[in-house]
Amino acid sequence: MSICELRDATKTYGSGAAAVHALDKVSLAFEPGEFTAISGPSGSGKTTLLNLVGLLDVPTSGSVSITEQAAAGLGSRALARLRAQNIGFVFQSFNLVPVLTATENVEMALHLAGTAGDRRKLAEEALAAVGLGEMLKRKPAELSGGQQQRVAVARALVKKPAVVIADEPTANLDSTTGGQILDLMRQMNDERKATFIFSTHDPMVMARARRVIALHDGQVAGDEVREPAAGGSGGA
Amino acid sequence: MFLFRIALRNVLRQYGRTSLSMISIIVGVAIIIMGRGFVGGSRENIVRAQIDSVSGHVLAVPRDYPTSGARHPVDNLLELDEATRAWLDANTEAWTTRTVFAPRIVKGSDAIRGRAFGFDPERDESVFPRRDWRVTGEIPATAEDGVLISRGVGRVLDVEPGDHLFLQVRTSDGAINALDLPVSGVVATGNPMIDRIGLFVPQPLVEKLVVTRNRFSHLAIRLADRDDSPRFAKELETRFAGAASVKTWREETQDLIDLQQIRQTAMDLLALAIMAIAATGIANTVLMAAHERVREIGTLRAMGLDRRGVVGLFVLEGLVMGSVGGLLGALLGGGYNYKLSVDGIDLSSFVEAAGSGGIYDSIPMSSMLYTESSLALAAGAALVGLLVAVLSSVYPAVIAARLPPAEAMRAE
Ligand SMILES: Nc1ncnc2c1ncn2[C@@H]1O[C@H](COP(=O)(O)OP(=O)(O)O)[C@@H](O)[C@H]1O
Ligand SMILES: [Mg+2]
Repeated sequence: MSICELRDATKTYGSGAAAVHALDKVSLAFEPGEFTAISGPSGSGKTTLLNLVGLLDVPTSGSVSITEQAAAGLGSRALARLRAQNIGFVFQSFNLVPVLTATENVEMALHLAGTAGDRRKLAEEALAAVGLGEMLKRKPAELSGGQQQRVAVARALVKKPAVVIADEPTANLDSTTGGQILDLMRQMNDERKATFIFSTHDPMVMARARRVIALHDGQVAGDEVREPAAGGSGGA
Repeated sequence: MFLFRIALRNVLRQYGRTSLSMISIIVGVAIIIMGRGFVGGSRENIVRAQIDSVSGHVLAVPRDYPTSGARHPVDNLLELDEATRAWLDANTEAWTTRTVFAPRIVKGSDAIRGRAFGFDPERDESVFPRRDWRVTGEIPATAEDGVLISRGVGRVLDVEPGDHLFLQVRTSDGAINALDLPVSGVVATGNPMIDRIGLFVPQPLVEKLVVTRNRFSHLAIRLADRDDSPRFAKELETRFAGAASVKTWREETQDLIDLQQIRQTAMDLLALAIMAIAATGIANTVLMAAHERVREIGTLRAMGLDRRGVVGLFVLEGLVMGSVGGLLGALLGGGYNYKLSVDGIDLSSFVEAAGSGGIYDSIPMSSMLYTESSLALAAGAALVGLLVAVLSSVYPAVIAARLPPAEAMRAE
C-alpha cells in the first residue's frame, strides 16, 4: 500500500505563451517508512511537487492521492482536515507561531488534528524526544534556528502523520546544525518508522536519504532507492 | 482556545498599534455614554424645572387660554367652589392657584413688560419648591409687602429691595390700574424663563391690582406619583365642566422634549462618526496584522486550520480590542457620567448668559444639571463598541482567509 501517489501530475502556472510547466506529467508513489530526498536545481519543481503531495495545492491535471484517498474534487475544508490528520510539515524558515511557546506550538498541531487525550503531555514528550525537554516554555524568538527546527520536527511528528513533508529543511541552517536536523529526522525514521519526503540541493543531505528522486525542469530525471524503507511493514 | 491565545497575545504584542485603535473605541463608547447621560439629564432637568416652577404635575387654565407667547389674559378666570377645594385636598399631595398677568413695570423713565406670577403665599411653595431660589430681601406675603422681582427685572430697571416701582395692569374688568409698590426682595430662581422678566406678586396684592375676586388663571397640582397625571387630569377636567383646559406635565413639556430628541440625535451622530473612525482603525490594524503574518496564516492552514478558523483568528483580535476598548470606555465614560449624575453640573453661569435673551428664555431649566446614569447605558455603549470592533475586523479576516496555504512554502 502506498502512502501517497501522483499520477501524471502536471502543474502549470500562467497560460498561453507565458505558461510555466512547473511539473510535467510526474508519476510517483511513496511507501510507508521512506526517507526520500527530492533533489534538483533551483526552479526544477521541488516545492511544487511537495505542495501537491502535501495537499497544499492541486494539480492542473493528473491526480494526487494520500493514504489511498483521492484528493481530486475535495473542498478546502476537507483538504484541511486531511492535512491536519495525515500530513506533518517542516518548513525552510521553521514557521513556528511566534506568540506561542515551544510546547504550545506542538500542542496546536494535536489540537488541529483533533487528537484526544492529554495533549500537553504528548507535546512535552515530543519535545523531549527531539532533545528540547528543557526548553518547553520558550518562545521561538528565544530559541536558535536549529532549536526552532527541532520544535518544527516535533510539531510535525507529534500527531503521527502518514507522511512528513519538509521543503529544504536545512537551507536556513549552517551545515553542522543542518546535519543534526537531518540526523534527527533519520533517527525518527529509523526508530519510529516515520515517513519523510524532503527536498534539498545539498549533496550532504542527499547522502543520508534512502531514496533520491531527481527533478529536472519539472520532470523526474532519476529515481534511485539506496536502502529499503524503514521497518518494511508500515509507517508509524 | 488556541486561536484565542494567539489573538490575545498578538494584540498585546502589537501594543502601540492596537492601543491606538482601542483609544478610538474608548472615546466613542465614552461619548455615547456621556452624550446620552447629558441629554437624558437635560430632558429630566427641563421637565423638573417646568414642573417645579410653572406647571406642577397637572395644570388647569381657562379654556382658550393662549398656549404660548407672552399673552396672559385675565378677562376670563377660573374659580373653585368649596366641594372642589375639599376634593383637591383629598386627592392631591398639594395644590395652589396662581394668576399670571403681564404688567408694565415702570421705574422713573424706564419701563418694561414683565410676567407676573400672582401666588398664594401659603400654598405656593408646596407645589413650586424654592430649593434653588436665591433671595435677597424678603419674600412678600401681604399686599403691603409689595413684590418680589427677578434678578433680570432688578438689573434692567436698576432696582433693589426697598426701592419702589410702578405696576400698570389691566384689571379683569378691562380697566387700567396702576399702583406704586415697594420691592420686598430680588430672586434668582435658576430658571431663565422666570429670571429675566418675571416677578412674584402675593395674592392679596393681585386682588387689589387685577381685581380677581378670588379667581385665578392657573390651578397647579402636585401628585404623589407624577405618572398618575393623565388619569387625574381627566377627572379634573370633568369637574370644571368645560370651563378649564387641563394638561399634564408631559403635555406641557412635549415640545421641549422633542427639542431634546434633536440634541440626542446630534450626539449619537457624533458618537457614530467616532465609531466610524474606530472601525477604520480596527480594520486597518487587523489588515496590517494579516499582511505581516502571511507565513503564519499559511503555516496554520498547512497544519489543518480551515478558512473559518483563519477568519476566527483575526475576528478574535478585533474582539479582544473591542472588549478592552469597550470595557475601558464604559468604565471611564460611565464612571464620570455617574459622578456628574450625583454631583451635577453647575449651569448657573450659562443660565445667566442665557437670561440675556434667545430661546432659553422660553425653556424652563434649573441651574444644576444632573446627568442620567445607568448600568444599562454603560453596558449598551460597551456592547456597541465591541460590535463595531468585531464587525470591522471581519473584512480583513476574510481577506486573510483567502490566502492559499501554499504561500507558507513560498513566503520568505
Ligand atoms: N506561484 C507561481 N507562479 C508562477 N510560477 C511559479 C509559481 N511557483 C513556482 N513557479 C515556477 O515554477 C517553477 C518551479 O518552481 P519551484 O517548484 O518553486 O521550484 P524549486 O522549489 O525546485 O526551486 C519555477 O520556474 C518557478 O518560477
Ligand atoms: Mg523551492
